[in-house]
This record gives sequence, C-alpha cells and structure tokens, in this order.
Amino acid sequence: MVDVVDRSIAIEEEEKRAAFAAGRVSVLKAIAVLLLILMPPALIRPTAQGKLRFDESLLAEFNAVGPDYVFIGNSMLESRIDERSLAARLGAHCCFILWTGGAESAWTHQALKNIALAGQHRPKKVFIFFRDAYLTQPTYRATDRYWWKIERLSHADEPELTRSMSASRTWQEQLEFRLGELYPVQKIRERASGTVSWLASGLATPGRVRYGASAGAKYDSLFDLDKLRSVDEADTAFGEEDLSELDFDAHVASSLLPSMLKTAKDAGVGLVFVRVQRRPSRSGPPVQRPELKDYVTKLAAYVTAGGAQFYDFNGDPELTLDHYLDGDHISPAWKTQSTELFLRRLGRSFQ
Amino acid sequence: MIFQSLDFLVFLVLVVGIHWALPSRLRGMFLLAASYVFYGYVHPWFLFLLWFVTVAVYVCALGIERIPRLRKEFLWLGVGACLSLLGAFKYFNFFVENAVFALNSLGLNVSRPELQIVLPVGISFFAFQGMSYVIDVYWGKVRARSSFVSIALFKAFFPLLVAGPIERATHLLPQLEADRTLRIEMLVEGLLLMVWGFFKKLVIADNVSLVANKVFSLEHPAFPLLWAGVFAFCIQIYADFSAYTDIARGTSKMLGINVIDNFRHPYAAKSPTDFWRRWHISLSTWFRDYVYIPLGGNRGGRLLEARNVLLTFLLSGLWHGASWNYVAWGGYWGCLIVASRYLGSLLPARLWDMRGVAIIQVALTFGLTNIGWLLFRETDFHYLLSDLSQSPANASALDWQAAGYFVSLVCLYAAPLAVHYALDRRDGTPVAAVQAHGALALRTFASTAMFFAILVLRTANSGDFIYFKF
Repeated sequence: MVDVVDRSIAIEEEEKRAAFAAGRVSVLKAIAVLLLILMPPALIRPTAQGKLRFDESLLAEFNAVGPDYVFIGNSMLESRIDERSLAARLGAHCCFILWTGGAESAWTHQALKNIALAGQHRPKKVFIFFRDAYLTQPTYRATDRYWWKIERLSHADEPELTRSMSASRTWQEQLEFRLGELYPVQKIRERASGTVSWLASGLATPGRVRYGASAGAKYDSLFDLDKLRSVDEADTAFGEEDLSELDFDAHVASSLLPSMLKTAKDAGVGLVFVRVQRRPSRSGPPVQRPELKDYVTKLAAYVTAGGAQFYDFNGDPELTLDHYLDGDHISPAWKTQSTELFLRRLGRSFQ
Repeated sequence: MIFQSLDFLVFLVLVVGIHWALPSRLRGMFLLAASYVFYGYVHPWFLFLLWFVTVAVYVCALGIERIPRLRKEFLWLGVGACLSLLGAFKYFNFFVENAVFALNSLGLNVSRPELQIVLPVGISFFAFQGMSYVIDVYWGKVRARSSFVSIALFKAFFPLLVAGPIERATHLLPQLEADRTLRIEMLVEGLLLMVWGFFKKLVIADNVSLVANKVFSLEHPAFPLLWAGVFAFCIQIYADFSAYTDIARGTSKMLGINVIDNFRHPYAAKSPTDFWRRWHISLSTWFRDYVYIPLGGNRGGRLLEARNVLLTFLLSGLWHGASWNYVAWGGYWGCLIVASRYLGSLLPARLWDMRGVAIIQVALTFGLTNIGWLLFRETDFHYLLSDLSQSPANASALDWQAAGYFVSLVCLYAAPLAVHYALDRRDGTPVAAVQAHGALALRTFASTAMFFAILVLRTANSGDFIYFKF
C-alpha cells in the first residue's frame, strides 16, 4: 500500500516537473518570437535612416530676410498679428518663426537660440507669444513627431535642451524617448507619409504626380479656419487636471526659460514675452484660478528680473468674445485690428 | 489605463509574467487585483461603480438560486441595479434635457439643472455583462457562484472591461475558474493577435481618422467631401473597434483564456441581417437573446416580428449613447432589416444563386451601412440635416478632387483589411492551411512587418478607442 502511494506521488511529481519544463520551453519560444518581431526594426542604423539634423535652409531663409523684429509662436501669434501690416506700420523688416499646432517651450527655445539669435543680422527685439504656463513645460508637445521639429532646429550638442528634457520627463516620456532612440526611423517615417500621400494623389488624379510635392496641401484651402465648425474648446489643451504645472517655483529651474533669458542677454537682444488672452467668457475675461494668477505674477517678476519685458493681454477690455473664432484663436476678420491693438499696447517696445 | 500606452505594455508584461509564475490557486486573486489597478488607474472612484454592480449581481444570483420564492424579485433587483447605474451616469442628463424641452414646449418655463456627470468608461459593457449573468442564472443556464472572487473577476477581467467583447458567464466563468496551463500556442497566438490589433488601431484607424475628423470639422462639407469623410469613418470605426477586440483577445490568450470574436468581416455582409451577424457580435447576440427573443422574436406574424426588430434596434442604438442620433441610427437599422426581410421574401429564391448578385448585395449593403455611419457620426441634428441637404451639383471641381484624394488615401490604409479578408475567406485552400497549421515563421514575419509599419506609419497622437465613450 505504501509503495503504491509513493509511486503515485512520484508520478505526480514527475508530471509537475514535465509541465514546468514544458512551460519553460513555451516561455522561451514566446520570447524568441517576441524578439524576432521587435529586433529587426532596431537594426536600422541611425547613420542611414536615423535622427534628423539641423535644417540649414531655415537659417538661410532667416538671413535672407535680415529682420529687425522677430516673432516666435504658433497659431496664437498667426491668428493675432498680420505680418505684412505690422511690417508696413513699423517700416521695418519683420520675421515670423511660426509652427502652427506646435511651437511650445522646447521648440521656442531652439528657434530663439539657433535661428533668431544665430543669424548674420542681429535683430533689435524678439517677441515670444505664449499661453498661461507653457513656458515652464518643456516636455509639452516634445514627443514623437513634435520632437522631429525640435531636432530640425537642433545641433548635435544641445546641453541645455538635454538637461531640461531629462529633468522634466516623466518615466513614461523617458521610456518613449529611449524607445525612439532604439528605433531611429524618423527619416523613413517622413518619407513613408509622403509616399502614401503621393500614391493617393496618383490614384486620384489622372496623369503623373511629381514625387515630393505635398500632395494633400493643395486642398488646404477647403479647410480654412473660417470654414470650420465653431468649437469653443478648440486647441485649449491646458485643462483643469494640470494644476501641478502652476507651481512656478517648482518648474522654473528645470525649464528652458532661464536659458532663453541668458541666451538673449548674452547676444544683447531684447526679449519680450507676450502672454495672449485665452477665450473670454460671455460676461468678460477668461476666469483664472488663483494658482494661475500667482504663477503669472511670479513669471512676470522672474522674466523682468532677467532683463526681458513681459506683457499680459489677459483682461484687455478690447479683447472680447466677439473677436474670437474658435478656442483661443482670434477671428481672421479682426486680425488687422488685433495687430493695431498689439502696436498700441506694446508700441514702446519698438522704440 | 488605455491599451495604446506604454503604461499598459509595462503592466501587461508584469501581469503575464507574475500570473504564470504564481501557483494556480492564487492566479484568480492576482488577476482580480490587476484588473482593479487597470480600471482605477486614472479615476480610482470608478471602482466603486464596478464594485456596486459586482456585489449586486453576486447577491441577486445567489438569491435567485437559494430563495426560489423570491427568484423573480432578485432577478429584477439585479437587472435594476445594473440599469440604475446606466440611468444615473449615462442617461440622466439626456432624459432631463428632453423632459425640460418637452415641458418648455408645453409652455411651462422650466430651467435645466446643470449636472456635470462624468461617464465612467466601459459602464455599458460591464452593466450588460452583469445583467446577462443574473438572467442566465434565472433561466438556469448557469449556476450561481458562491465564490465572490470568481464573480468579481468575471465582472472586472481587465482585457474585456472597457469595451468588451461582452462575454457570457457560460463561456468565461468556467475558464476563469479552471486550472490553466501555460502553452506556447496561446502565448504566441496572443502576441500575434495583439500586434495585428495594434496595427489596425495605430496605422489604419488613427490615419483614416485624420480624414474623417477633417471633413467633419467643416461647417458645410460639400457632397463629395462629406461622403469621403463618411467612408473614412466607416473604415476607422471598424479598424478601431476590431483592434480593441483583437488586443483584448490577444491579452486574454496570453493569460490562457479564450474570448469570443466580435467581428467577422462585416463589410462583406450581403444584407442588413448578415451585417449584424458580423458586426459587434457579442452585443447583437446579447440583444437577440435578452431582448428580441423574450419579446417574441419572429413568432406571431410579420407585424409583431417587425415591432420586435424595431424595438430591439432602437434600444441597441440607445445603448451606444445618450443622444437621439444613436436612436435614429438604431431605428434606421431596424427599418433596413424589416424591409430587407420583407423584400427578400417577395423575390424568387433562385435569384440569390445567380452570378454577380452577391457582389451587388455586398455593394448595396456597404452603401447602406455608410448612410448609417453618417447618422452615427453626426451627433448634432443641425449638422446632420445640413449634411443630408448637400447636393452633388453644388460641389466644385476642387471638392471632387479632394474627395478622390481622401478616398484613395483611405483605400491605401485599408488595404491590409482587404488582404486579411481575402486570406480568411479561402477556407480549405492552402492559404487557410498555412494560416491554421505551423506557419509560425510566416506569421512572425508578418508581425515583424506590421510592427515596423506601426513604427513608421503611426500618427503623432493616437486617439481614444471610439467605443470607450459607450
């Protein structure tokens, strides 16, 4: 009897061992399949298809203008200031360094350092347009394709940018960035989206379509801002949940703001930070939480102490809801008046 | 936590690893804890709703079985608990808004109370799953479980929690309770299914969504642009939702659990009825079993059948969202099914065997499906009416060119779906054999290509899965 029990225990243990061994082989096979899926794309070398480099053509374009006044920003700047009428009113060369849909802190820093202050002609003033707390959020719009745009404005060695990004990224952002380095496919990505677009254009349009032409761009006029549905909340990404970003003291050191001030000071160029007013309510200016008010007070003091000017359009009585299109954008119909308003409020900066 | 995030990938690696390393008796408890972490990751308070449904269906199912004289009361209590949650969080504002509108139309001046209710993700899915368990216990299809962990895990199993498939207790519970052994096929199948799911979401759905969003951001899209946008949305919603299902099924497989498929190439459907046999199968069978058949199904004559179909689809529309456009969408499908069944009975049977008829059927059904998607996409009736009033005669040459470009773009991104269909339908051919047996190397190679495509063709920002909001 005891012998039978012993034997059945032995068989049971044998089965367990076999199951465990089979399980281990299963795991190893699954890992092998996983590696076969994940590894090949990582073998594409950076030299062949990798990181994007500084775009010299941007600097050449900037040098060709040789501007007296430079404006850096995104659609907030584009919808507010009319470049031609501004240049005509000032009787000076103006240059807009724009990135609609992007242009947050990291890109702005690179545009200032490597374009606006790196040209042959030294501008008199550089104006930076921004919203609320974005100046101290270097990681905002600084991943994936946004990062490529930043790379296009970056040289091989960018210690300030590297320091700020490393200090500000969350573990997820850090991991995403490292994965991006593991799979350096930016150039292929740029080419791939262009190729798909070109193929689609070729399928839709009889005759030959030249490769490289931005196939979809010719339809952009169908989607001009005034043809879009009015969406009050459009492009107002900064929401309630970002309260921690309003702690100015906690974020300023790791941000790129100190570097912006120092670079401009070293170059002897005046810097003007222009805070745009967000979408007002029907009854008046946009409601600001106390934390944001406190943040802006500290930001203004910091910027001024750093030798730059600060102007806040928030609460301007002439900027009412009627002048807005969607989100924080000013209506195209009011752009000329908006430019005039800008000149009235900041006229002294041009003297 | 969302599937297309790095947080999820880290979470998945940890959960799969720990799950298989643990002794069998602890796996259920561990999966339950992991599921709660998954669901409460962003909004921990959502967990209270999940617990509410879990406790309600657990108690009611036991009550049905153990106290026979009160079984009906327990049934209604369980179903009521699930419905009350939906009513409070999903439909409250909708009903109030419409009640206020109706009262104001009658001349009573009533102001609308402003209630900011956040819709918890997946509420419709876990509420329906809960109801099905209680009803199945009542019908004797499944035994009520005395293990609270079993029921809690059945309700919270993280791959299915947010957007289904809506699994039945008869299929999922025994698998969750069984001793699962680690098998290479399940791990690899799961992995490959997930890669296919991520490919559909990040490459197909996200890219074509750019076209759909662009068109539907226009105040008055011209006729050709509008339908190019609808076509883009048609591809987007299929790629998006089936991607979620594939990732959910793949994740489940890696944990040793087989989950039902939710899609069977719906755009190859030959009739409206056929479409609903292929689209969101777990929901359509849910409505069939718990609404349509209890209402009488196709018994009692053509008129009663039509009533039952219409009611079922109106409710199915309302399930999707608290908005009249979803109800209209459901009603539209109900009418299509009633009409197609009636017309089908009038036409001679030999017609369906004629060459070329199947292609016409598929094309016609696809066209009707697209009209349905317009109702689904336009949540604002003002815009829907404006869309429907667009005439092709008013479109400019540039509008037609742009529409042609967008349709071509969508077709290019959707091409892998067509290839998948072509491979899938060749049952009994060498292709099917290659797919079904061995062929691991081939599928691994295909997955490598898909992973590369994800790296190269994904958009800058991946949008949420569409069905998250339901």
